[in-house]
Amino acid sequence: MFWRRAASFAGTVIAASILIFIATEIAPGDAARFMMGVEADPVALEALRQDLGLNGPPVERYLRWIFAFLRGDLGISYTYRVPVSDLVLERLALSLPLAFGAMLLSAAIAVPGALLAAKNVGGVRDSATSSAAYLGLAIPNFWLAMLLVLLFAVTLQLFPAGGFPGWSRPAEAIWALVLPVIALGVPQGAILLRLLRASLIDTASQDFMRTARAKGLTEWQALRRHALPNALVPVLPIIGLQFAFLLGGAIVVESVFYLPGLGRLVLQAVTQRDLITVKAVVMVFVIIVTFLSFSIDIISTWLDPRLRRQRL
Amino acid sequence: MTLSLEHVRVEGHGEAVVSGVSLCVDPGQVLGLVGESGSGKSMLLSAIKGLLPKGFTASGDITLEGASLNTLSEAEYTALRGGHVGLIFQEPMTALNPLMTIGAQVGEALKIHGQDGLGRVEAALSDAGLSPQTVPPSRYPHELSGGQRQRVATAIALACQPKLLLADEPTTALDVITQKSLLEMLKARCAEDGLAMIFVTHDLALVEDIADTIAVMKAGEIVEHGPAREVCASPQHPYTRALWSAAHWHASPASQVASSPVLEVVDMRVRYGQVSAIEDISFAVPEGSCTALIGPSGCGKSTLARAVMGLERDQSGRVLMSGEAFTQPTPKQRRAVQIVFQDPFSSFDPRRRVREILLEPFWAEKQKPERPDLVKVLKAVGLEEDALERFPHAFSGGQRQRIAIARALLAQPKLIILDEAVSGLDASVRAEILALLVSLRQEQGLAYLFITHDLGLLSGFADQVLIMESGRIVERGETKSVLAAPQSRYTQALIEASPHLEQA
Amino acid sequence: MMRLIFGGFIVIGLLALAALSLVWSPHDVTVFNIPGRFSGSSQSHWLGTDQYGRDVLSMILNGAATAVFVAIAAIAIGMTIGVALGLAAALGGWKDSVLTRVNDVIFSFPGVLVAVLLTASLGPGLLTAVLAIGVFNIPVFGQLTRSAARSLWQRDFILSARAVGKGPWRISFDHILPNLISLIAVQASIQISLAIAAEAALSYIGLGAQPPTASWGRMLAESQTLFAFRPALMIYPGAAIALAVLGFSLLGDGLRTLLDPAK
Repeated sequence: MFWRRAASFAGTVIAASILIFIATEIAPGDAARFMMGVEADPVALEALRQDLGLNGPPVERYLRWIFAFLRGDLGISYTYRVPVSDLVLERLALSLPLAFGAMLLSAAIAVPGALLAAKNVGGVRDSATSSAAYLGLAIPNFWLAMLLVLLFAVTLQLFPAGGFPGWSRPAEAIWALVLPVIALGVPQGAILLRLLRASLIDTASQDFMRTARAKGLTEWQALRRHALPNALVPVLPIIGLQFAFLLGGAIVVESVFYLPGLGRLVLQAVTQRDLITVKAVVMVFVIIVTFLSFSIDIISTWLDPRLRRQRL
Repeated sequence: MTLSLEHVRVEGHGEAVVSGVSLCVDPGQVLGLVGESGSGKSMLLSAIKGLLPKGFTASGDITLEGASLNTLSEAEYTALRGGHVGLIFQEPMTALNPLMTIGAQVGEALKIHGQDGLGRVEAALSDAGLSPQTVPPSRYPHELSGGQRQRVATAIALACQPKLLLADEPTTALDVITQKSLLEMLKARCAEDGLAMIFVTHDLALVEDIADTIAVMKAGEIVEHGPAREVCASPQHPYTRALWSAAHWHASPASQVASSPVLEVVDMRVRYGQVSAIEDISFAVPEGSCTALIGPSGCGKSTLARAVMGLERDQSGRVLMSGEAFTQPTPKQRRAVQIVFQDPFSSFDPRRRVREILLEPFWAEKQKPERPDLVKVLKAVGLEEDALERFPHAFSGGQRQRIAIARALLAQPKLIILDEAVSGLDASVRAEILALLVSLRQEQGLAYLFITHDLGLLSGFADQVLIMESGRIVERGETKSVLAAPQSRYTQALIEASPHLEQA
Repeated sequence: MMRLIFGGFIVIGLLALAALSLVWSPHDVTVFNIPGRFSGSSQSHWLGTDQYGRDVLSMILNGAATAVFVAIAAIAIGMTIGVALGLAAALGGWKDSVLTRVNDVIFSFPGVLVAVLLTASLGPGLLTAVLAIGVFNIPVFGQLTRSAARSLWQRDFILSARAVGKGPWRISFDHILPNLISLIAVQASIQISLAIAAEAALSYIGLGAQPPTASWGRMLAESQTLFAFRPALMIYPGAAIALAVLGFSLLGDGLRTLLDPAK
């Protein structure tokens, strides 16, 4: 069962890699001309083509790329002239903590909020939480980021307005990530809260909740111990999807805060037509997201025994 | 007296759903509370356990072992539930948390009331009839059958040795044999532990066996109350009498049985992947007769019905309709067989009006039946013309089954397959629908293939009986002979377990 | 009920303004007016002017048209293709496996990256934004339709339809799809709200609408270096985005409550 899923995820990654290859090497036509511009010197163009190995049959080029990737060789960035793998590792050191921090924050908002709302459905606390959630998700995360900078960095001078000092200065590094994590995590938390609340309300009306109350559990105990785990089951796959969205959102937030993350890297690469970097970084993103989906799948199986071995 | 109710009243949203109920139950006694949907029986139970829905309040005296329950706070009620009062409900399939082992769920009940100790979980489960060898506490609910899950629910309810058990239709969703063994287990617990039980049901025949006293409820009031034997032998109130005849309904069989078969099935087999769902099925339904197909849930009866209609993907075997092969039938040929399903709430497209629903078998025809024909079938099933423009959700379960029968009639079939068509209905409604089917058969010479798990329903009605188990027909023959001298072990168990069967 | 009214109100207002801006706006947004830049609210410029002297109100109106156009076009694409695929997948067999695979692959790309890839191939612009958001919505509607259709297929009335001889595609269109419409409509409303946010994000990072096409996202990007100096330039477009997203979101939720219990 495990291996079947693993194979399925490998398949997804491969299919995605083919799409990436087509988009970056085949679709632009002559990749070298695309990268150097229309006015480029034909000799320089040919040299670049040789350099990048663009003069071969597509399948061969694709396979060469994939095998190099698997070896850890992501190519040399056209703009920066350094190995892309170095760039990626450097940037990951920021993007991953940022994404995880935001995920944690959103969970910290969503779970208590949803429980509170579900316990008091229709009541004041429910309306208040739901309205807050609505506002939270309507606000674009990059706008929230700008507002946070305006308030906390410019006006109150509590946090830096941007930039990242690197992990060699851990305290400052964490401080620099606070506002970005909030900007990403709050809208995310709002979305999760609404989803979890709906799932909880749905679960709370199911028959086993009656049994739980009949045992002598209070409403609160029944909600926490029985409803919540069951409500999480349909929400988990969505969390996986949301992480993908978060990584995407991180790209934009990184731009607001001028953070040297993976997102800004790929953005700059696209603007500068550095297709090598674009290819590699998109691939890295896809692998991270797919791996996360895979992990969520495993967690789901652990949580819900019905998804395990097909015994009966 | 374990539980005593005096002038209990439940009101909500401006009306009284329970009024002036006075009852009592003694230790070791079973009180059968009988009523149909809307009688207020569930509300009464909710009042006793303190779990009334929002907007409803209870008044009157409710006393448990001398202590009044009216003045309890929610916290005190919580301590009561599971500890002094056990509760079991109707839907065993969804009654347990699917993510926790059954042992953990029973253990939780013990822990809440401070009674967890070594072996208590196993003891509770085995007292409910689940031996640790076959059903260990590490099992998950989805690995158990409906009957087993209900036993787990019972174990949870009785784990802390409560004095009172409130059982709200606990066996309604189970088949007869499982039902019987569950009832026996409950009755034994009452006798052994001095447990008082209120057993709620809509089925009077069911409660005859198990109850010491019976109370009949209608529209929120108790209309009859007394020792079980008396209430059943000589019911006083007209409603009780009506329930009684509904429960003991039977019809006389057709006057003669025609020889030529309207349906013939030869060597039918259906597979799901590698597994064989039904195998080796051959039988015939004579014209104008009724054949009952009886078996436990999961034996393949519905699969067989679908296969007869040609709706299963992987099926083999021959089906003959009035002697002609019924393979790849045209929509017109398909009209010869009509089917009525069990669940009246999912039988119709919620977005279609009754008029469109009735005409569905004619979807491929240019010439469709006209309005007068539609009105005629509606009247034949006891509905009025104004039903035509309405949507399914405007009708009750019994009315929807009538609409389904009307649709079947409109197509002028030779055979109607009824797949547990009355199982989901209250006893009195069920009796009405069955009476309707009997009269239609007599008028129009219809043949029926009646699928059910309840033998008692059809003992008088069916001419021949086919008993199915695990995908095969294990016994067959004329109803009278099979009932008089059952050959297979299963048939014998079935006869013993059926509450509606008139014991000769 | 409140939500429906509120949301509907905002949405209708938004659509009206967007339509209006196509034929008229208080000032021409393509003309720079450097001497008149950074002016505050006035008679002729209700919301003031930006760093190039353009009327902010007109920019907001035109940005509304961009947002609405991209969102609706993208959702139309995603919905049509997604629902068709979902209905096919619900029929089972190889169609189902193909759809699940396609969904997995598309979902493995964080939304913005689809736009990045398309930009690499097609260059930035409105079309890229519409395609990127549209492609991402295909699996959203595909999944939704597939799982809802699958549970409908289990219902008895479908068995009835099969029993009278209707084929799977006929059943899909006659019975399944009509019973899914309310679900799809609700989701469409919510997806439009997300699409508006996505369009804003894309133009913020430069991959969406290109100048001179007005876009709220780009207004935010341009105002970023100036917000210490003139925060209002950042507030208006951001608030516009939030309001538009809120409107469609409320509408979707209101529709859901309206359509559900009525069944």
